[in-house]
Amino acid sequence: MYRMHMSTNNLIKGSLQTIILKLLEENERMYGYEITQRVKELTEGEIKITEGALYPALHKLEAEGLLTTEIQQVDNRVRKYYSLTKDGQKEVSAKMSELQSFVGHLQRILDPEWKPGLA
Amino acid sequence: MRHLTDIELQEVRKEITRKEISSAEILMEIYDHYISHLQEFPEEEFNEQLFELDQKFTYAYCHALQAKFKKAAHADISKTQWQVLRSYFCLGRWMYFVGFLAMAIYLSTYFQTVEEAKLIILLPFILLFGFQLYYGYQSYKHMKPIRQNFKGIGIPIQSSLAGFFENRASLPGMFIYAFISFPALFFNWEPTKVIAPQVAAVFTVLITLYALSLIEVWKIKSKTALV
Repeated sequence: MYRMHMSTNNLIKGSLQTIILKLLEENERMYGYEITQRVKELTEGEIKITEGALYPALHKLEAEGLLTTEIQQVDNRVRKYYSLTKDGQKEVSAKMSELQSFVGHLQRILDPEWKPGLA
Repeated sequence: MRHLTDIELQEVRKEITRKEISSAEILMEIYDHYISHLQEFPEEEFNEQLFELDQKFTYAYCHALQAKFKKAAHADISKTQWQVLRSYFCLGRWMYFVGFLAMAIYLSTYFQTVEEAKLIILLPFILLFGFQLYYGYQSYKHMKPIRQNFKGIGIPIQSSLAGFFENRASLPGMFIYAFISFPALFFNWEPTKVIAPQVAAVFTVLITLYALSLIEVWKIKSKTALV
């Protein structure tokens, strides 16, 4: 089980930014921990975003101007929420088609008989 | 989800303090991550979960995250200031700017003494000083809850962006220090003596523009960051 998680996490590394952008497109605003939990929930625990990869990716997207942040007091602490900027919203579709095209190519390599649209 | 007890919260703070994080942005994010995670588990699992979190947020990881964040934040501010200046200079504003510059140069021809030239060059510093005071107060207000949570840890907690604004605000001061402190270079040297008041006027306009762009960047960043 541990080995499977490890290999899944390695596979997910290159797609992390796309996952974050897509989640934020659907959820308007999210904080770091919430993103990890949402991914875990959607994949029934099969994919776990590690904190080691999540925060550098969030900060990078923020620095690139694709994400904006909002600080809010929650209980007795401060929470940083991330949301998409206008550039980020445009980038989601570009990143999504890039990833979908990659998955399609990968599918063709793994199964040369496979054609898009076929189950 | 449950609320952590005071003893548990103290334990969390103690563990995070060991990482010696000085960036308020990183500190608040890690602290929130710890609390959000630990709240999901019953009291009996607290120590085990805290230990697991500590294995993920190691000292080295936190410091690498902090260094990368500072670097990215500084690059972002420089980029924003440049964008502010570029967007400011559309055609209509170029005309305003040239007009303002011409007016300043014209007024400088009435300067009688070196002191008058020095005085005019100091004017934008009133703006920068006022900005520093206001910015300092706002930064203090934003930082208060984080400092309260980590009171007495012995590490000065500061916003990663704060140092950058302080440096940028004091940059023209260092440059003008030379102008004010070594007037002989500008006012007594034959080739520059005649144009010294005009040079002072041009500097005044440029520093005002620089100060305004910095204030504009702060206004943008203060909406989303701890400054």
